[in-house]
Amino acid sequence: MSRRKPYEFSPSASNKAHWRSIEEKQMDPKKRQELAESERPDGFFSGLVPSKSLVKRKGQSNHALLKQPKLSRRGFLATTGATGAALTLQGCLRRPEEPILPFVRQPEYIVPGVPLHYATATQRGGDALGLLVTSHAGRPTKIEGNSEQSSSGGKTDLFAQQMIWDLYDPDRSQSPAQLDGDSLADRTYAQLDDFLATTIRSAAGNGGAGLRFLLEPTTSPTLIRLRERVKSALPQAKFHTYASVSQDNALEGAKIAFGNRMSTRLDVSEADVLVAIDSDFLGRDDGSVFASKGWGARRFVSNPDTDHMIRLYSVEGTFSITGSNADHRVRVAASECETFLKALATKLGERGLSVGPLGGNESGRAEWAQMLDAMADDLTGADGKSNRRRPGASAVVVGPRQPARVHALGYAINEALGSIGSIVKLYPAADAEQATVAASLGELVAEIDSVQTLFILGGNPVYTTPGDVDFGELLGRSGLTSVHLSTHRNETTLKSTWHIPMAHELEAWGDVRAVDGSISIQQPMIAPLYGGRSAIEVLAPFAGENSVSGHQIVQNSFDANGMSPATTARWRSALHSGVLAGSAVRPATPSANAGAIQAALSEASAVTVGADNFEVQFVADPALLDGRFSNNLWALELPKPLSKVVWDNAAFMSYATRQELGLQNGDMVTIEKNGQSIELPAYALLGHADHSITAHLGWGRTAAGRYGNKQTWPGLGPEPDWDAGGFDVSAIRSLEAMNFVTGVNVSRGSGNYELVISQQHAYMEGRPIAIDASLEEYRDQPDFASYRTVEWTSGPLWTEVDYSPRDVANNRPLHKWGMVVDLTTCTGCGTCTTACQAENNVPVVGKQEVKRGRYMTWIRIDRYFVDENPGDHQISDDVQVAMQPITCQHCEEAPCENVCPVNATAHSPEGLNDMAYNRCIGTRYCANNCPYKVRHYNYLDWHQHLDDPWAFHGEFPETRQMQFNPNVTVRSRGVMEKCSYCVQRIQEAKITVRREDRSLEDGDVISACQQVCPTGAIVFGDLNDSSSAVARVDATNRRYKLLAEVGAQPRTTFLGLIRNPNPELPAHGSAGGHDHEEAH
Amino acid sequence: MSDETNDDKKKRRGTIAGVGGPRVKKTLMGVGIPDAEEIAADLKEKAEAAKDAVSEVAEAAAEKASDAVDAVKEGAEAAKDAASGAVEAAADKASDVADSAKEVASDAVDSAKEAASDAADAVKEAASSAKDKVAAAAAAVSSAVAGDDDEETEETSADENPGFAPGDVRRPSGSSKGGAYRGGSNGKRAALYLAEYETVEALRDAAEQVRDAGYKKWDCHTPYPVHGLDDAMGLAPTKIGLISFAGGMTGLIGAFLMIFYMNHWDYPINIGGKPTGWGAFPSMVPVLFECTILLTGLSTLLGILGLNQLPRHNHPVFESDRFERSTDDRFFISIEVADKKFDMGDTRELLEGTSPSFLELVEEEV
Amino acid sequence: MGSHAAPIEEIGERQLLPPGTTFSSITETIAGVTEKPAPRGWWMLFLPALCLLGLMFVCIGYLLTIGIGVWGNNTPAYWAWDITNFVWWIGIGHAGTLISAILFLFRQNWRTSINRFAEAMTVFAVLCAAIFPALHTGRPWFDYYLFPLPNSMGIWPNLKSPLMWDFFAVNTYLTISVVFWYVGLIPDLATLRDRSKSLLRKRAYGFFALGWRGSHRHWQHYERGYLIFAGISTPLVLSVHSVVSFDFATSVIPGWHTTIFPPYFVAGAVFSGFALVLTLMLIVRSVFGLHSLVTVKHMDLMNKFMLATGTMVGYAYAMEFFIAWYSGNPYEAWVFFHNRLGFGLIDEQGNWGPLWWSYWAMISCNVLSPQVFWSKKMRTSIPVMFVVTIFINIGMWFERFVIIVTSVYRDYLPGSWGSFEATWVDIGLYCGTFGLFLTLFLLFVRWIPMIAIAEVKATLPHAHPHAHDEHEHEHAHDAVPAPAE
Repeated sequence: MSRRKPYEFSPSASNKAHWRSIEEKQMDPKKRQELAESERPDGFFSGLVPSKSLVKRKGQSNHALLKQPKLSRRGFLATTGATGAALTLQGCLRRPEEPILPFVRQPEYIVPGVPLHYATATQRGGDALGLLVTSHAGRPTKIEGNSEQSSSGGKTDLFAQQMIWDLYDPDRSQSPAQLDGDSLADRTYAQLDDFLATTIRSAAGNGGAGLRFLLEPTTSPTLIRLRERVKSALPQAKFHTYASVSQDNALEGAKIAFGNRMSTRLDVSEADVLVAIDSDFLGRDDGSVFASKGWGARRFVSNPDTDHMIRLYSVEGTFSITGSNADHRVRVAASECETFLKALATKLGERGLSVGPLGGNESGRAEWAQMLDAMADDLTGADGKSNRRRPGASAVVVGPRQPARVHALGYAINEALGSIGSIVKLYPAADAEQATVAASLGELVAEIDSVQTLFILGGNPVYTTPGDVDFGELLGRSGLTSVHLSTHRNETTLKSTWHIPMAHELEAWGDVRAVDGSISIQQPMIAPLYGGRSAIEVLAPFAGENSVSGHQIVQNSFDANGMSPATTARWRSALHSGVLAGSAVRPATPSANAGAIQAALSEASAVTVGADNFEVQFVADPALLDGRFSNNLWALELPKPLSKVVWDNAAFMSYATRQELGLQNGDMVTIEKNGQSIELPAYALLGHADHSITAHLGWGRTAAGRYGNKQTWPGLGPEPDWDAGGFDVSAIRSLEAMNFVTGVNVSRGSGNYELVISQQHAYMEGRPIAIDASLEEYRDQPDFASYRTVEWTSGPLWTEVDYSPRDVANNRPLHKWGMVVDLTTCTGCGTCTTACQAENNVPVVGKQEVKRGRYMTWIRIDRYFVDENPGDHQISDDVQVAMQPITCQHCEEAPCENVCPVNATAHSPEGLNDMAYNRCIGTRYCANNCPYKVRHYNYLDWHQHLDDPWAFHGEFPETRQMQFNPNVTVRSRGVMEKCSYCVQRIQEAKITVRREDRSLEDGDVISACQQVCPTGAIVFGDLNDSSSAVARVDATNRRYKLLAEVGAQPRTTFLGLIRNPNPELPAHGSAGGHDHEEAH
Repeated sequence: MSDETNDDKKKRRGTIAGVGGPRVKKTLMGVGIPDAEEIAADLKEKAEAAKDAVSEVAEAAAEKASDAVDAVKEGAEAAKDAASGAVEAAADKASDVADSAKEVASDAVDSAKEAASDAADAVKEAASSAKDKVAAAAAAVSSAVAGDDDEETEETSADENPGFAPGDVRRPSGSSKGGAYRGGSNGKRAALYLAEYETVEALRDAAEQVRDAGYKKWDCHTPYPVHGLDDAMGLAPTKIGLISFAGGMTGLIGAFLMIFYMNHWDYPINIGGKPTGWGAFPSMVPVLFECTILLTGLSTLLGILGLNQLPRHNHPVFESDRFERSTDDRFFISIEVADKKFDMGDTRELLEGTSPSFLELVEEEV
Repeated sequence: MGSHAAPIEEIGERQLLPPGTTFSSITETIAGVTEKPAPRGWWMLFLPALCLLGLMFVCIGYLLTIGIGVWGNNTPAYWAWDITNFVWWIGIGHAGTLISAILFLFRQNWRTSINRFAEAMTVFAVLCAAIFPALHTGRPWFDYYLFPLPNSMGIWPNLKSPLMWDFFAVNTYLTISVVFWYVGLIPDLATLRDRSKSLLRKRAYGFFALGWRGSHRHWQHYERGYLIFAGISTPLVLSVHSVVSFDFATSVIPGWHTTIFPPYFVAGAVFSGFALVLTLMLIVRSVFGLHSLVTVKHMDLMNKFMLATGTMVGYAYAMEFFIAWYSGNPYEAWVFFHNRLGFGLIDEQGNWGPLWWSYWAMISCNVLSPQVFWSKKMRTSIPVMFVVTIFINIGMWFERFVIIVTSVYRDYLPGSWGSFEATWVDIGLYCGTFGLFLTLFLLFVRWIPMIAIAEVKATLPHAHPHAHDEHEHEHAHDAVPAPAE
């Protein structure tokens, strides 16, 4: 009982008297005052005080009696006993001691317990992604999309979700450092500033001679402005750009075709037919959020007769998310995609398109012929059966790994198809001056001898540069002072003279520009946790802007650009909405220069990949990207969308190729090129192109941090020590061949390596699980999905709970929360998994535990290969894929609830399958009895597990604790957990609407997975509200309940997976998968 | 010793039997055990003890008696006669037993024989040295007792040997004048007669006789449950079934109320959409069943203990060393002093009539 | 107690104890074990048992410190060795009460030589069993939530949960088994008390003998009470393993959701229980030289029992397969034909169910090995029955493993499929419970009459009136039946 200030009861008639009961009202005001002060008028002690002692005794005032209650012997014993017990219990509970300190200066808007949302943005290659950051008491905890920013549209990609973890990465650099002998020694910011001041002075003295800057490609107007200012102030200084994964090919392709570097935005929402050439526009390529949004719109179908569905052909070597969603997929090695596109151009030429000559009569491989014809027909709409409804609604999409000339050819084809400007929108590149990274880095390497001071502003070139550039050695050249700005003391830092801690994007001021030219201001959500500076803060003094305030520097940009006075309403509204109003530009419609394209195409000769000419593709990792998320636990443990490998990369190859090489999964394979070799474990990924190997970038780090380093983790007792961290593949990469290389020698390496996958079985075994059908089948059998599952027609023996009663008092329906997952629009990108992880404090468990199936992600995405020829036990590489996100189905007759002995899981009146973590004792019976196996169990203290495998109860990194969503319990060891339908968001919304005195509307509650899903495949809401999106989708005829025959009445339902294959093509046309005999 | 008169012998024997306490009796009567060598040694030992005890008792009795002699001289004379009669009867039995003991001993080994005779000699010696004083004391005591309790006197007079009835002497008495007995036997009082049988048939026959004699507070002690004894003892069927049944019903109803209260009334929770009240009855069955069994079992345990009034570690039968064989291979009948029909003489006679292999009066600590 | 003292010759029963057995020879033989110094064989067993017990404590300490993640349990095999061991031990624990109670009700006098032994085994086995569910919860310190107590929010346990049924059943079973055992012990403890030479022994046994004095008035209540115990224990035995089987049978998991489970589990429990009783008895009999009390006739009868229950279990296995096929439920068919049988159904890649070997281990140990008992020669051969009983114990362990793990590790959604691998803690804890069991058991045989003295005496031909000494064996069947109570 805390003491609080005595307060006045005001008995005077002038003020309202507050009273709680008639007795109190009748009480003598003075006594009431005393009671109030003593704070226990009739409370805790009253039962313990014998009534006798409350009787007024002679010569004793009531007051005294009440103030000092006489305890009887029994009362005393009861009190001491209860106190003792309470103290004992208190001792049993593990409550960390935490000092509660008030803000010295109360920050703006902060109301304890009420999160704030701030708009900001992040750069994605040549694009920007608008973000909305949720901040609890000054701590950003969750990132969502900014619906006002065009590239985001309210959705984010996976990397935006992962950013929040990086912010709190315990391995971030915490102070400047200087190379001292062989190791880094901490320095203070004052020492750093002295050094910088000296450098700037000397640069100013000699016009920047010997001064070089190495940046990552940027779209930031401020950074570009500062660069130009530095260039003019220090004419001798030079700028270079480098990034392991860049947009150069697309930009350069545009330069060939149109004469200018131009960025492309693919507007899928207008498309009817797309041919993706080595493109992952639905997955990890830039602009995927925007493209996915359009995909969701064009893919959703509820009436097969009227809804027109987009058709996608995918031509690729590796297996991408886009490929897994394609209606037709051709396995073509990356090096042969050019041939394929040329052949397509030829076919298009045969159908009257002007691009025919560009194909140079290339006909491609014989087995492509039928597909090429079908594609050409579909793209051009030559015959009446085409899926294309109008000109300009079809396009080819060339992926960023393809050379510039292929992009140029693609532009030419798209121009011929009329899609430039309609679905392929071109915008001037943000940084028109920028050279390609290969050229830029090459220049730096060539001139390294003349460099005295090299500022590396971001990036990690020592790790990311290809094998033919030994950047570490270059940095070690005597006389070179290198200054590295980075969040971590990574491989480059260890070779640099100076290190400057870099502020995270969420900690610093900045700006980014989206493809369409719209500019977003990056505003800091939190003061830099470990100090640190942003690139613009480091660069500004060289440009003569000596203010170290990022805020000022960014504002200067807008002043200088004349776009906006920095402090006006426009600035404020830009901060608020996340986009600078009026900054977007119209798409350009240049015309392609066929001659230039022809010239470029003729420079290269066709490559044929085969058993004698293996190819290696270097693909940015689906979660780690180029290694920038290498220490990110969420990224490390996110299963790769197709292979489901976690914690490692591998040599992914087709099953046929693996057999040809005589390998098993996990066998080490040596890949040699030009005397350099890499070794990594083989893994057969069905659907991969033959004689091609995909090697993901971003792995095998040596200075990523405690989690991301390639290392051997100490196993926990029964679990063996385990290696993780993957393999660095850049040795065989070169500046000429950044994306794929042919002519490699592939041979069996020594030994093998344990690869861990999160999903051990890849086939549905003929079960109606991820139920799919072609559009034609859907037309014939609109309820095909529920037809294939067996729903109970007779009810149970008991009266089922009615979740749709009306709240009579308020005459409004109660809520009936439900979720519908559309398997057609779900691309399987995995963003929801990480979003849920961030929202719900879901831990990661480590590679070895994933091997045991103990992964904790509340949403797992089951990936099933749908074989062309089921039942013949022949493994085929020509597979289709069905992705199915599985999370708690919130069954109305939940099997898990019945079996919980302690009522730890129960149903809420709104139909949520709730978990009471503090009630759970962890019998795991519920999980056993869950037919969907969506319950996840804290076998160990997962949050600490990787830091403290022996349960010494060491400190869990404090910064990681800061990431936790305070509205969600952090589960302890020994409890079961599972998807809660984001019950905290539901409650928050309820509080909000009650405060606003209105009823809940559709959209007030958005679950974390729904919020982030770029295609809108996940719909969540109130099924009792017939106007809600979820109710509408739930009424779709292809809705079905997964495992309906179990009778659990799942509240989450699925919409059957519809593919839209070209009827002209065989095999894929009847992609029913599991039950061909029923298909027609 | 041969010069002793028959009267003297009778007196002595009677005296011994009357006041010598259980140890002496054992010495004389405990001869039915097959292991002669052991028995002989035991006899010798016990004879020594008897000697001490007799002299001790005699001295104490003499002291008290001399105080009373003057006042009750007349009565003492009469008592002397009565006592001699009683002694004679006792002596006969004693000699019988001694004979049988001798027989068994001679069947075994010579040393046993010798030891037995030694023991007998020792007893004789001890007894003769105390002869006069004891006789006087016995007379005094018996008269004192007789005078104290009218009822007892009547019974005594109705007895065949009214002059000296062991039962009278041992009878627990509230009278302060009974102090002579109490003081003389270290604060003990008679508790029950314990008869030992070697076969279960003998036990059954004896039990029938005791039952027919109308005793209530008596019991059979067997190493295992003997069938047919219920009838032989005339026992009514046990009531333990009712206790178990009541317990079981409590468990059943209690469990039902518990479940109904917990999951339906107090805090109904929607568990998997299933009903909580009567609709949930099928799910209650296992727990109802288990609780029924549990409480049946526990109440049966308590019933066994309660009806048997166990645990009780201080029962007078444990005062008997021979009773230790009741859990091995011997069968016993005990008749408690507290029984209304109990009479030192009658009861003893009754038991003697069942031809036990051993009979003793067991005393308990007061 | 044994109301029908004598064997019934018409049904082929024979006198079980050799001629010449007397009351005191029985007492001497049985009580003597507790009075003489322990034989060397006892120490040779006791010291390893203590080591295993130590291992159990090490494993438990480790488990509690780090969490049950040290076991191999995973997703989807949330239960594995923990519940396998639990069901196995509980099953073993059933023989004791069954031998004691059911055979008592059926007037099978041969039980008297083994019932005490078996009851003790029950108590110890149930204790071993109880360790697993108690530890397998993630937060064992909150296990008290299972008691019908409300928590601070007023939440009660969920009596619909089969685990709660289990909780009540196992606790009832443990309580009743201990009481039943103890009640049966009281007269024998009195025997030991009365034979005690030292005061300490006398006091110790005397304390627990509760002052038993063999009074027939007591025997009367006692016998009826014992009958009631037998009467309630019989359905209790049947119910406990039925309830254990409900843990699985009421679930929705194919391979678990099977109505045949209750009788199948009970038969299996009897099967395994008899096997372990026999295994232990063979050892104890030779260590303590109890050949005259536990005779080959006893073994023969028990082997017949095992043959019968083993065949029942085999029938259940077959019936499960029939239903899996006949029901047309593809999930169930998958569990039985793929997960268990192995080659019955192969997956799309042509692979067998990875855990097929456990099913075949079960079949060969449980169904095939007891078939040797069709031969009388095998039934009465000590080495053969020793080996077979050990096989049966192994096989029954596999049965539970098969039911638990092979059902759940590949159930409905192939995307959730996993596998299972045990860790050293799994193995250590399982072995450790053997330490607990053996330690308790060896202490029992050393200090407590391991055969019910009073009951065995009651089975002697001359134990009851009308059986005349001169016709001791020939007319033993003349013994009058017990009073009809």
